[in-house]
This record gives sequence, C-alpha cells and structure tokens, in this order.
Amino acid sequence: MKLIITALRQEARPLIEKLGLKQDPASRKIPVYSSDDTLLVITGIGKLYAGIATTHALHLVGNPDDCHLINVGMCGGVGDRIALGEAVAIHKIWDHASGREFFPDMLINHSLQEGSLGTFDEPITTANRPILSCDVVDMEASGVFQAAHLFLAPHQMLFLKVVTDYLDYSTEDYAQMLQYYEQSVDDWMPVLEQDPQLDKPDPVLSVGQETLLTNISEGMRLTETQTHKLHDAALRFLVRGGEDLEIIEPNLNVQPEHKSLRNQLFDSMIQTLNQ
Amino acid sequence: MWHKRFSHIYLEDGVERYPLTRTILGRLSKAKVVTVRNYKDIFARSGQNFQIQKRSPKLILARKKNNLIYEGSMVSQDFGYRNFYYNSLLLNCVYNCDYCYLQGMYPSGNMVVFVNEEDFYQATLKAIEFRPFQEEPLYLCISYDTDLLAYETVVPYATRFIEFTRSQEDLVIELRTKSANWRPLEDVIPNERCILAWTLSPPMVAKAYEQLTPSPEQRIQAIKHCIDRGWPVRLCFDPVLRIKDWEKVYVKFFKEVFKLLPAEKIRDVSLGVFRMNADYYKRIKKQRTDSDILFYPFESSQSLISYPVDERLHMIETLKAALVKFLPAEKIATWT
Ligand code: SF4
Repeated sequence: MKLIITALRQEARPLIEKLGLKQDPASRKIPVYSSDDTLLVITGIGKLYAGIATTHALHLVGNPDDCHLINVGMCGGVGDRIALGEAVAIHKIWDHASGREFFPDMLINHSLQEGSLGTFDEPITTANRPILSCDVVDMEASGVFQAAHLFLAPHQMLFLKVVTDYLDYSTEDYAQMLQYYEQSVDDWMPVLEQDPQLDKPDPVLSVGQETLLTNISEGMRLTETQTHKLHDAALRFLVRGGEDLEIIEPNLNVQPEHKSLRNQLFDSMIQTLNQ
Repeated sequence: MWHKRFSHIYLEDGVERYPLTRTILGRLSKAKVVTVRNYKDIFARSGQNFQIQKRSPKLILARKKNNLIYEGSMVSQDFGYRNFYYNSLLLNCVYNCDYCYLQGMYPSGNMVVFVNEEDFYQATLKAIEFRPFQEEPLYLCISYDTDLLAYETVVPYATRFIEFTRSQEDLVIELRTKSANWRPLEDVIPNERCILAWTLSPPMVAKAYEQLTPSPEQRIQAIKHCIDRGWPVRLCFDPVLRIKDWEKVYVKFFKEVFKLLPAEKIRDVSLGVFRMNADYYKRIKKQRTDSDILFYPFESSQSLISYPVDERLHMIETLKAALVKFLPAEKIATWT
C-alpha cells in the first residue's frame, strides 16, 4: 500500500486526479482519499498536524509492513542550487526546534536530485531566516518522519519536495508557486508510481552490465573460464562499490588477432577490476 | 531499481580532517556525501532492515571515541595466545553470509569505517605495554567484525596495519578474510607476525550460504599466491555447517584443498562448528526466514546457540580425523 502525505489540498489535487483517488466520507477532520493500493491524507500545515495525520493514516492502512510512505509537498529553496519547480529527494531532515536529524534510507535509484531539508515551526523568509546549512525548508517533514518511524522502517519512507520559492515571497506569489509545483508533477510522478518491491532479490550486475560483459567476451573470444573470471571480477568490483563498468568498456570492440594478445588484454582487464 | 552499493557516504562531524577520510572520498568520488552529527544517528536508527539495506549498503565514516581495543571473546579461538585482543576498524562487511552473526549484532546493514587510525595504533601500543602476560606477544585480530581485505581497495586498513605491526616486536596480528584479491598485498613485504587467515567452505556451502564472496577456488588461488610469497597462512574451516552429507562434503573438500595447497607450508588450521551468540540469533530469526541453515534445532548453552553437544563433538572428531591426514594434530585448533 502506498501512503501519500501532503500538507495542503492544492498539493494533493494533482495526485488525486492522476491516481483516480476517491474521498473517504468517513474521515472529515483529516481528509483521506484512496484507491485499492493508495491512500492519501491531507495533514494541514505544521509538523504537529503532520504527525497526527500520519499516525491516523497508518492506522487506516492497518499493516505497516506492506506500506510505503511518500511525503510530497512544496518547499523553499535555500540558495538557488535547486531550480524553481524542481523536485528533490530528501536524504536528511533536520528539525530546527529540537536540533535532531532524521535519515530516510536512500535505497531506490531515481533520476531526481537529492538534498537536505530543515523543518521549521514557522514560515521561513529572507526576513527571518537563520544561517542555514540545508538545501530546502518546509514545515512538516520532521513531524511525518517521527510519527511514521514509530510504525515503519526508514527504508519505507520517501520525502519528495518541490522548490517553489527562494524564501522571498508574498501572498501574491502564491499562484506562481503553485504553478511551479503543478508543472513538476510529471517529473516525479513516475517515482510515486514505482512499486518498490524491496523484498525481491536484485542482481548485483544490471542487465546492461551483463550485456556489456557478454559482448566483450564474445568480441575478444574469451575462453569459457576467462568469461567466468571476468564476470566474477566485475561482480566483485561492483560489490566493493566500484563505479560503473565503464573502465572496461574500451575493450568492447577489441578483437585481438592472437591468443597471446587476448590473454594479455584479459589479464589487464582483471587487474583493472581488482584495483 | 536499487542505488549502487555505497552510493552515499555519511560523514560524521569532524572526520573530514583525517587523511583516511580523504583517501576514501577520493576512491568513491561519485558517492553523494551527507553530513551527520553522530554516526549513531544513522547507524543505530531503530527499525532498520539489515537484509534490505544490504542490497544497497551505504558507507558511514566516523571517529571511534572509545573501546579502541577489546579483549577476545569466548566464541573465538585464541590459538594459545593468552593476550588475545581484537579491534573494530570497520563495522559490517561487504559480503553477506547467511550464518554471519553481524546480522544480529548490528542494527544496520550499512558499513561504518572508523577513520581515526592513529588512535587505534596508540591503543594497540598501550595494550602491548600493559598486556597481562608480558613474556608473550599481544595477539590482535584486526578483521574481526568485518572482512578488511575484501574492502582494501576502498579502505586500505589491512596493509597499513601490517606496516604498523612490522615495527612492533611484541605484536602478532591475524587478518581473517574470504577475499581472493591478493593484489593489495603485492607490494607489502611478508611478515611472520602477520597471519593471513582464510575462511574456506566447500563450494556448495559457499555458493548457497556465502553471498557475494569469491568462490573457494579463487580463495585457494589467492592463498597459494600468498604462501609462495612467504606469508604465514592459516586456514579456517569455520563455521562447519551441518548440511546434508556434511561428512562426505567436508572430507572431500579437505582433500581438494590439500591437493592444491602445500600442507607443510600452512601455519595452522582452525576447525569449528557453527555457533552464535543467542541474542544475535534471536534477532536474526525475527528478520529472516529464507535460510535453512538458520533453522536447525540448535541447543543453547552459556548464551551461545549451536548444534546439540553430541552432534558437535562428533562433527569435530570426524573432521579433525580427516585433517590429521594432512597436518599434525598440534597445528589444528578446534572449537566445539
Ligand atoms: S565474510 Fe565474515 S564478516 Fe563478512 S558476512 Fe561473511 S561471515 Fe560475516
């Protein structure tokens, strides 16, 4: 079950439409929308309301083990590293009031950029902002995290925020800010629609990397043992956190004329992977 | 779908100043760096799922403030050294063996590297100075809650500790590993007081229960290379698992090993059956149900779980008898 948490109706609206969610008439104080596999709650502004609504939603979900929580919303950018209308996956949440830091697990690969977020008890503008070491600010994330963490593991949470201002705005700018948010939805919707089946085993080598190895092996006419050794060295290279296999890509179109040259190239490939 | 392994590095406040931090950041230059006040804020969070995190583990660089050296535990073999100590330079391991106690010992599948290496050397010097049995050296296991050599290309701790040991006459270290990558040791001069200890399991055991590790065949090649270079090598047939036809499988494996390795050049052998701290075991069983070897009807005694005592004794006796065909009995240390 996907559990989406937003603070505002305006933030929820595009999601309700795209995911075809229906309002639950029984839940009036805390608006709840749902489909077979998704539940969305609108928390209201501030981390206290966010925490209460998150807890409420988790009770509605029933079995937290199958739940994947996503907190989506607008946020302010500290500095202009992240463009207006761009979505950020949050790897650290800092609660300004308590000084505590919270970390969702960053396990799933996506194309969004990442950043750190500060949660404040009041709106932050250039007029009242302290010196900030985070990338973006909001008013809910730490409340959502703390409430959710009572029921969920850190790998079951994703915080996704869209930069809609640089902490310098007035009420007249609100329509424009909302527009930034709405226009960004298509960029991050695929992340939301992804159904991370975290229990499924995942091979260390991707399909592309397997293909690369096969092509190198066929191109260089490696023996069966050499092919096996190459595969193994590549696997171990990636297990140790090695960057992509591009370091052996230059061998892709190499077709050595003699066995001895092939063996030499093979040895040097293995050596590269073992370093 | 998953981020690649070590896609993120979490930096504890203050560790930027250590040279080892710079080395690691240089070697994993594409990783995203996230700062963290105290490494426990990420490593010790509640409710983490060890096995899921193992799919895409992260690296945490931290400073170890205390307990830089520990006295040896009863679960491990001291090989007759009475000043038996170990340290934890890294927490967790790049491999993921089904029988590994780290799954129950640590709250997280992420890996911690303590980068204040100088403090570890100082603590070791102090332990050497105050060791209880002054007539014997200090025996220190440096790859205890991890596999140091397997991660040497990122964290060059093994080679550095070997260099440190060279100048300490009263220090003997053991570097236990399943790695097959001997290259980091290639430029290091072998030292009698640095024991390279390889854990070996029969191929079918390694394949089924030692995820991500090099095959025994590859490990044996690495061992051979290191013996030829003059390193003292220990073989660890530990843990022996009570799999179907265990006797046949292990005895056959011993024969294969000593066909490939010169038994007379092996420093010693350790033989032990599977055992684990009972609390760790309880925790592991709660998290995973996917490994048959963890679900044997074990016996618990003195806060350890293992096979029932008669089975244990029989396994060790049988396998020791098989090993003495290759090595003298005094070279075989057993754990039952
Ligand atoms: S190699 Fe050792 S430390 Fe690493 S996972 Fe296996 S048993 Fe655990």
